[in-house]
Amino acid sequence: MRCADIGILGFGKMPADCLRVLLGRNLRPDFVCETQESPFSPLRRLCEERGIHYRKSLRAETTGFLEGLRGRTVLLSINNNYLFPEQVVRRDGLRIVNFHNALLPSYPGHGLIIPCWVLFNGETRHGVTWHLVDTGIDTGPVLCSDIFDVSSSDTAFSLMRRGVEHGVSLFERHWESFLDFDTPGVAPDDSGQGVYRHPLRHRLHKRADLPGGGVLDPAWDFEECFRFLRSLDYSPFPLLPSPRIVIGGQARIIEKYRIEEGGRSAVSGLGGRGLDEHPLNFNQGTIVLFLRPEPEHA
Amino acid sequence: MPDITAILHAIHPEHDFAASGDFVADGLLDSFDIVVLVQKLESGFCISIDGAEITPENFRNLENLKSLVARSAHGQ
Repeated sequence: MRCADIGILGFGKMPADCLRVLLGRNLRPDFVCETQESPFSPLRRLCEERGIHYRKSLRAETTGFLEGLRGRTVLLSINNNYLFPEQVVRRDGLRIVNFHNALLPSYPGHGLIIPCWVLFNGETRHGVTWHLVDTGIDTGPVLCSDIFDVSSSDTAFSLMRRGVEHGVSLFERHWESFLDFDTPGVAPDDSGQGVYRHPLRHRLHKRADLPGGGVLDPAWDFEECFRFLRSLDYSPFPLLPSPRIVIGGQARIIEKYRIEEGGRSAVSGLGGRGLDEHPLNFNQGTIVLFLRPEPEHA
Repeated sequence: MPDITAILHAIHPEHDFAASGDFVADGLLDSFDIVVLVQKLESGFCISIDGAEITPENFRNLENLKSLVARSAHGQ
């Protein structure tokens, strides 16, 4: 017997995957609130098929909607960039469970930018966390987490994707505790995990805060250049601004890159028409950048 | 020349793409699938797809995918 309403707040594939997990257990959420435009999202269609109350609620409308909730409610915040205001978090009978795509308290902040910084910082392992929401940003008690290796070929998108897969897997195993008001979680503490190494990992990561300001520094070595390019690589989706390089005093947009190292060659990025090739040669190999001029109005 | 239907089935053998008029709206392809599909189309057809072409409309059905491949090939 259900003792609380269940709601899902977020956008895109991950909340849809978690919704399927609940539906597979004969649990039908009382509402799904999609908080961001997401052109490839299966969430709306899934809700329509299963008769689940669906609403598109962008940021300005979400607070009012949440304040209007009545009774005990478990709110699953999944791939959600909405920051819960204090009056919502403190409301009696509301339990907010959030997915964060890093191990907390390291790498707090905007979910989109986290994989970017994990790669740029050269982390070799990464993780994901389900936690309760409190009045801070990504500071609430942890319900469960998982750790996985970062591959030398990972891009920001592939790292984000694998984080989502691990997050959904955790959800399949722990959803009952997420819905249980009596499961309190534990204070975030990754000091004993030995996963992350970068000294700046605890700062709040904001969406607009790009590695190197989004500009490749030609003074970087091969590894740094490669990490930078992979860290801003959400190809084929333009989720972050394209990286840039300054050549002869002019900024150029890096649309695509090819890595040639030790007999292997790999291309990432889109487009190819009218792009200039610009090789960066290192002892370890060559990074070929495919460039186009910065638009004049930029 | 690879077959787009075969590529789709390699990504999701459990889906009946022929029965769908809208792969995206019907939930047969999501954002993660699009990444794989774009890579396979680019390598399979030796084309380069422009970033502006990554829209739900271009991935809606087989005809639109064929048009996308043709446009991307002609632009080489």
